[in-house]
Amino acid sequence: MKKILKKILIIIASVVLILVFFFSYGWKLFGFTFCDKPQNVIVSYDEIAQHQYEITFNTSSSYLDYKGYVYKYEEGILYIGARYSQSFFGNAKGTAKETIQVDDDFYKIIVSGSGDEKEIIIGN
Amino acid sequence: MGNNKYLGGKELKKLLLLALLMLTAMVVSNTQLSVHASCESGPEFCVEDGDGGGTPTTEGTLSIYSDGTTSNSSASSFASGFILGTHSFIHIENTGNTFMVFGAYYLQPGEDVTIGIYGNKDEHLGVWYNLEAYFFVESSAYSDAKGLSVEIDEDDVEIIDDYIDDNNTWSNSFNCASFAADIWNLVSTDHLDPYNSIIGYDTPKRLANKIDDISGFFIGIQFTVDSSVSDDVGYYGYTENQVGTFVTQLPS
Repeated sequence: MKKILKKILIIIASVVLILVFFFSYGWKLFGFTFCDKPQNVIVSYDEIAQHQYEITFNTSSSYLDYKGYVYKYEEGILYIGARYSQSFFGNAKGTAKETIQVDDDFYKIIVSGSGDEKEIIIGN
Repeated sequence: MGNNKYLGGKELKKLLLLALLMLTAMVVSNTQLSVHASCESGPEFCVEDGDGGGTPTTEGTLSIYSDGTTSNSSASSFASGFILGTHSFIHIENTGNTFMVFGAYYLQPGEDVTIGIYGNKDEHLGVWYNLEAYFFVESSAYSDAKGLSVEIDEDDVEIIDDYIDDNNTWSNSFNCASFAADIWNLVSTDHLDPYNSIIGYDTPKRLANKIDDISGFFIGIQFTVDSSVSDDVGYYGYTENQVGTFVTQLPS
């Protein structure tokens, strides 16, 4: 009986650990799938060097915490997505700055996430 | 001597007339000064009372919005989004001809403002003005929010102003849904309870569901942000210790 209980506890602990790992880091393995919807992510950028940009992320949510971002560069388009989730330890940060390096100039940014996209035309 | 007495009476009349004119000028001058004085503590877009010379009327429309949708499609949003939602806030349009005061914000006749509290902005935890309008313009945020509207008068404006002054804060147990619902409940007969008994505090999702139960609710942002008000929309900010800080760029 004790052995069964021990096994159950180990299984529960393993599942919790896997979930924590996935929601902290593993979501990036799935590209933009688990990023926030584009209408909830406000993106602005500054060119700080040639082909190097500082991207600022903000969220329309009043409590979600920034977890990270993913991006890809393809034929002059920068695809970018950010993920937010609830902070269980307080001190949620809705705003984050990230520096990214791309191969060439881009004429358009597409904010992508959860199967949706939003275009930001450069220069507008 | 007699002539002198007669002339003295005439002079007295003139003096009295002059004094009356001066008194009238002083009264008018003092009235204008007091109007300017009431604006001195406000931001630069503060305007004078009684615009158009008619009877001053304080009236407006208050709307409550609550976006109960998920922020992303992962299983964790089942907890953070599906149950909690995204954000709740209020929107006030000044339809009268006198300015309204909400905390540090002076709202001109014909203009509007969004007010909500945030717990994840570095600069300030608590009341923000026009941040929702900014997010709406920038990103079409809150397009799935549910809302309700009610007319407000001078007494309501005072009640809301007092509430904002006393509740410039944010915590898990006093969040955006608590703030928006409290203000709505102060001025409306349709009571909204955003409390989620499963997790033990108010949530935008719960508030959106409650709004959904009341007839006359709408979906999506109902106010328009056109070029004529874009300057005001960019003029968002917050207040701390009764002093307004209005920024023109995204919080960092």
